[in-house]
Amino acid sequence: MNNKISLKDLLQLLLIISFPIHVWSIIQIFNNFEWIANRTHFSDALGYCAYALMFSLLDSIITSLPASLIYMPLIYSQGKNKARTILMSAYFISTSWFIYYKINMTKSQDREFVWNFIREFGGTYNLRLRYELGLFFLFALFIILTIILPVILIIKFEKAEKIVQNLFERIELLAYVFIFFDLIGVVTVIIRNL
Amino acid sequence: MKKNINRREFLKFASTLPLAYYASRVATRKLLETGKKKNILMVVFDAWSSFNLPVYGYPRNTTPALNALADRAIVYHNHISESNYTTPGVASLLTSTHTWTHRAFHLGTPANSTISNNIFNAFGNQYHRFAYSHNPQAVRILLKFDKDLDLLIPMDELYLVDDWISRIFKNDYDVAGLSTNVTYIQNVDHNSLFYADIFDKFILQKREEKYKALTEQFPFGIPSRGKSNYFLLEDGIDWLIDNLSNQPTPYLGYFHFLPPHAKYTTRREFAHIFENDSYSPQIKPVHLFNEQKSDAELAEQRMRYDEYILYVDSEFQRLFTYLNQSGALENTWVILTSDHGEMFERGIRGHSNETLFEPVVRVPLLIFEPGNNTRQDIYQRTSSLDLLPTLLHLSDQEIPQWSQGEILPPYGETKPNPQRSFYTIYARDNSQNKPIEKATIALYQGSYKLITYFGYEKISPNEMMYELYDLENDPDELVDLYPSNPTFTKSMTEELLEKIEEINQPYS
Repeated sequence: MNNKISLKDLLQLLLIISFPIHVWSIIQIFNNFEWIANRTHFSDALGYCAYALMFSLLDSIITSLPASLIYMPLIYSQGKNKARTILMSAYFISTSWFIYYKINMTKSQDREFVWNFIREFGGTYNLRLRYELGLFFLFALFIILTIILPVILIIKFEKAEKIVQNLFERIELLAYVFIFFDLIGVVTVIIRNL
Repeated sequence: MKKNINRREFLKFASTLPLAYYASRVATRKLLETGKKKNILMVVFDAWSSFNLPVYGYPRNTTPALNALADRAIVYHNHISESNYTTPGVASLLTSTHTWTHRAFHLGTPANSTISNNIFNAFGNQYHRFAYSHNPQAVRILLKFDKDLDLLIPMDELYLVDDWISRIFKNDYDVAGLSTNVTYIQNVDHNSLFYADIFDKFILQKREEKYKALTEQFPFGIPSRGKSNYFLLEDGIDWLIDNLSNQPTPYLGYFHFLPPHAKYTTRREFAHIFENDSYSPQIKPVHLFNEQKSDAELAEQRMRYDEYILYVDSEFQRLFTYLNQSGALENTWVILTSDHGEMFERGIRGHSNETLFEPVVRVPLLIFEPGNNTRQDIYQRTSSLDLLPTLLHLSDQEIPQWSQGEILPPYGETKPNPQRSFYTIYARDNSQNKPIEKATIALYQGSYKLITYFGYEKISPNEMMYELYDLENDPDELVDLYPSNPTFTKSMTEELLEKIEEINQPYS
């Protein structure tokens, strides 16, 4: 079995990683496009999209770096395909939770919720907080389980691995479109700043 | 008799052209310097309500220096801003047009079709025109007027920290600012999924470490825009002190400093100064559009704001002392004003709220006339739209047709029209190219102020809510006269409705 990482493997990694990042960007674009277009004019709203896509590309590239570092040792224990499927499943589910958190925090008045919670837990733990903390850890456990269980399924059952792999193949195709639009975004940003 | 010029004569003549051009430039400049045209320096402090200044009757002594300086100024007691937040406030101040004309709504800029209608363009290139703002909302507007400015000082030049957005995307700051690190702007979240928050935390931590020493001087935190865009008002004033004398004259300078805008982080010497004083703010009824702030919280915030004004006052005094001692005051008009006010009542703190009560729209205006040493108080109502035509009039310049303001008393050749209608408007959530559908508009006529609220979910989208106050007999706006329906209400309501129809007509 060839366990060397090729450029194609890294590109596949980048494509899959870029998918949820772009989903977030699209949510942001849909949230803001109309009022930005109303604020001044339509071209500014397109400019806003261009920046959003450019930052998505940047986010995707930066995220791919630590993902590649985890990918390499995983290949030796699981093989190339399974390693990618495991890594990307865990990434997809945790990122989905993160997007869920971000959407809720965007709506919330208290945008510092999690940071404050952690700070408070470290500093002023008391009985009053016990119930809330209990719920918090239960929820955290649930999230961890939603990440770990699919990974176990992929390791144990070939059919599960195949289903996830098929899904990722389709996502890769879609991600090519995203990357193409990212590049248009980069060019647009350059032109706007000339 | 016609004489042909030979090649030698032509070359001789051509060689003198650069010298003649240079001589004419120097002569023009000298003529301007020695002529009637004086410098103009506009100093704007953001979110500065005239209700918190003793010069207008506030019991707390928030401006000991300005109280004394006012003896040399024309003090306007009923000066209203166009709106209760920066974007339309500044746009109207600089364009002398109403919000429905320039159409700079939330975080916006004047419409492209109107951008040459601005004070810098009106003064023309006979003046050296330069500007600065701490506030990115005002920077957005100034950037639109860039071609009419000789110098637009970059925003981060007078910040302690580097603003990478304005540096990297300097030609597209408006949209880049909306799209990137915009925690300051509540409507837009980060586009970046993972790194923006981490980057913010990292930057915040680094900045806090770097400027830890300054927290000794500023016990409530270093003055900042947003979380960690630190600045010192001292640096802004120092820039003026160091650079004003180097500017070509005559000049028109617009300087917009963020204090006393929230967060209210005064300098150590002014901190806690009003704690336990005898002043107790009047409790006013909670308004429909309240922000659920308790009276205790509002009183505390008001105190911090008042202490922050002391910092503003002290720094303005430093600037004024320099202008006086350097002799600059002899040939410079100094205009001191604000873009909008601030309020601490009815369950509301700050500004940019749906209400248009007086503390949030009535702003200070003091004009220091060159060489003047006497005080004059003007009690007639005036508008921020009036500054542009007044300054042009005082500089012997033509007032453009597009100006919707009038020359301020006492400079106008005729007496102010007592029947003049004044407007203030809050129309944040509207489109530049569509009718105004959700807004609060106040109409002033004589001592009466009629406010209408429309398009809000809280009052049913198809209904209009009205309030009417008699500012002469009820300056604190405590008794809403609208339900008792005095006879004149009908004509004021009709005028307001006609105005709304008129301003929306081109977009319907």
